[in-house]
Amino acid sequence: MQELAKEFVACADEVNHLQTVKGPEADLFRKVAEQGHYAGRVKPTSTRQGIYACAPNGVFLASINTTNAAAMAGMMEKALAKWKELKPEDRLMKEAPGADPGGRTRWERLFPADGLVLKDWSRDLPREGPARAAWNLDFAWFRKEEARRFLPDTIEEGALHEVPREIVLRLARFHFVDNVRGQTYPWQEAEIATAELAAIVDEVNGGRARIRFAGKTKATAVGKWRVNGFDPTTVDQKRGFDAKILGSATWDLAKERFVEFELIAAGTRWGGTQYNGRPDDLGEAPMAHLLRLAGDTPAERVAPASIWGYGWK
Amino acid sequence: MRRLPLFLLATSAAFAQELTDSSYAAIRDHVLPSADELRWTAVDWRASFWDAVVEAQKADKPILLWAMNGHPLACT
Repeated sequence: MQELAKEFVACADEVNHLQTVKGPEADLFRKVAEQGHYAGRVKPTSTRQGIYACAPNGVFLASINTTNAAAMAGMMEKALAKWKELKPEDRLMKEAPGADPGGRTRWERLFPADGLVLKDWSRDLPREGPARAAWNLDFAWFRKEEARRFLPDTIEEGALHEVPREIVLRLARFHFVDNVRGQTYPWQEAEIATAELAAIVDEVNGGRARIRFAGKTKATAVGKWRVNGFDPTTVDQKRGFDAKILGSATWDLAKERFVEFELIAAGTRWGGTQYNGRPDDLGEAPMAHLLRLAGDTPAERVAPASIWGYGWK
Repeated sequence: MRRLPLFLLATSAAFAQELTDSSYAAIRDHVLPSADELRWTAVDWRASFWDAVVEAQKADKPILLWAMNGHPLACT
C-alpha cells in the first residue's frame, strides 16, 4: 500500500468543507466525488466520505470507502491503470493552478509556529469485558503568549504557579472530550465544573527549566440528544468526564518555548453523543488523553477539531 | 523538592487505573498508538486537497485524496 501510495500525490482533507464551500478547490472535489462511490446519494446522508483518485484536472480515476487494505490497494491499482491511459493534455489543467484557491477559510493559516502545538491522543483505558481497539488524534494549539502562561512570571526553582483558567479551559472544553470512537462536540463553558492545573518549577539548569504539572478537570452535561448515529431517537441523556491531570515539560529560557511537553488527563467518562460511537457504552468507564509536542510536517499542522471555539481570528 | 497542592492529588474518580506518579508511565504507554496503528503516517500526506492539486500538476502525477468528516489526519 505504501509503495502504491508513492505513485500518487497523497492528501487528506475534511469532506464537509469540500462539499459545501465555494471556490475552485471545492468545485474540483465535487466534480470528482459526483463520479465516485457515493455519487448522487442523499440517504442516510449526503456525505461523500471516502478515498478518491483523480487527475489534477479532475478526471476521475477510481474511488472507494473502505478500511479493507486489499480493497484499497485494488482501487489504487485500478486508478493507476486508468491514469497511464491518459495523455498529459487529458490529465493536467491547461494552466498551472495558484497556491491559494480562495473561497475557503483554512484554519491552518492561524498555525502558531512560535507557540505550543500538541498532539492529543485519546483512548479507553483497560476494563473488564471486551475492548475495542479505538483511539483518536486531535491537535491542541496555544499561541506564544498563551504557552508562556503555563509558567510562573519568574521562572525560578520552587516557583509554584496556578495556570490561568482560560488556558486550562482550552484543554477542558475542546480537548478533554470523548472522541475515542468518533466525532463529538466540545463542552460548553457552563458544563465545566472543574478546570485546574498547577505548575511547579522543579529545576532551572543550563538555560532550561523543568516543570511538573498536576490538576483536575470535570465536565458534566444533561439534556436530550441523540446518541446513536442516524437513529432519530432523542431521550434524556447525561455525559461527562472526571479526570486527574499530570505531566511535565521543559522550557527553553532563550528560545522562550517548550522543547518537551507531556500531559495526561485520565479518569472516568460516561454518556455519548450522536456520532461518538457510545450507544452501547453509556455507563462509567475509564478513558485518557495524552498530549505531547507535535512535529512540523504538513500532516502535523492540521487545525484542532474545535478551533472555531478558540476565539482566534 | 516542593510539593504540588494536595487538593490536586485527591482522587475524584473511581477507576482501576487511577492516574498517579506510579501509574503514569503505564497509562501513557497504553494511550500511545503502536507502530502498527501509525502505519498510515508513513504516507507523505498533504493536509489539503488543493496542496495536492498544485503539486500533482507540477509533477504530472495522479492524486490520492482521503476525505472524511473531521480531518483524517486529526479527529476522525
